[in-house]
Amino acid sequence: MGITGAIVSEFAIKADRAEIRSAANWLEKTSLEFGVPGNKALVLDQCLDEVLMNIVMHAGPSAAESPVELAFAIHGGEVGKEVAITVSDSGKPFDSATTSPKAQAKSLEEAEPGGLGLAIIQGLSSRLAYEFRNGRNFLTFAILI
Amino acid sequence: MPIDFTDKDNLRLITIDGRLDSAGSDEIAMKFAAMSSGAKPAVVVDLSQVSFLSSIGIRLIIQNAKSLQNKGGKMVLFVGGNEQVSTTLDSTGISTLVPMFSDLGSAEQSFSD
Repeated sequence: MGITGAIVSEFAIKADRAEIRSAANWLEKTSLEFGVPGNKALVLDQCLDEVLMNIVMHAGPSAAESPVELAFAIHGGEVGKEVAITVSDSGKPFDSATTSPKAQAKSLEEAEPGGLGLAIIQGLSSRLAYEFRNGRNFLTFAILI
Repeated sequence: MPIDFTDKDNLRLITIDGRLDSAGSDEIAMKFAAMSSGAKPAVVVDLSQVSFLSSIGIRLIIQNAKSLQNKGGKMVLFVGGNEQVSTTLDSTGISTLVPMFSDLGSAEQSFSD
């Protein structure tokens, strides 16, 4: 028995900081519609915000050439139900699933703002998968509900 | 995105309310920097009513905590029972750099230790 399921909602935004809130609104509405518990919806929300900010800030000019596409899927498997969000963008290839976050600073003096998004995504997701195909990054983050 | 402060002797309590994502952080960035710029050397930032804390919000906290420290001041965080915020601060290691308290009295008391 493998994982079964399907995409239940899709959305797209420009790779623009001003559009990230609309993606969060779509996620909130979809999570509510499909009965995702509030605390789990918040985790998805947080991961999505970090993924989108990484694209906007670091994916380069090619990210703006086509929309950032979002897909919300619900999978049922032997270990329970999982919500998976796949984000696809045309920015430069970057594997958020396996790239190590930067080391934590040991003091406030040596702390550099930024670089925390990866730690949050990797820390909160129960599953992360990445592939680059047809000139696009596909990152899927999932949590068990 | 509401942000406000109250002063008591040498201590300033900055209260932030709402969603501290990229848009929310942009909204309060200038006010937060001005409020924590050293007018009072001891600053408690109340995050107990923040419904969402992203890495951009954390970036803002670090910038202002460093700036205050460079002027001889100190910032601590009060999170109350806000699990989302405390989990994020713990998992990113920020709570070891900027002290975090679940009790406001302990946060205020930390400046006299």
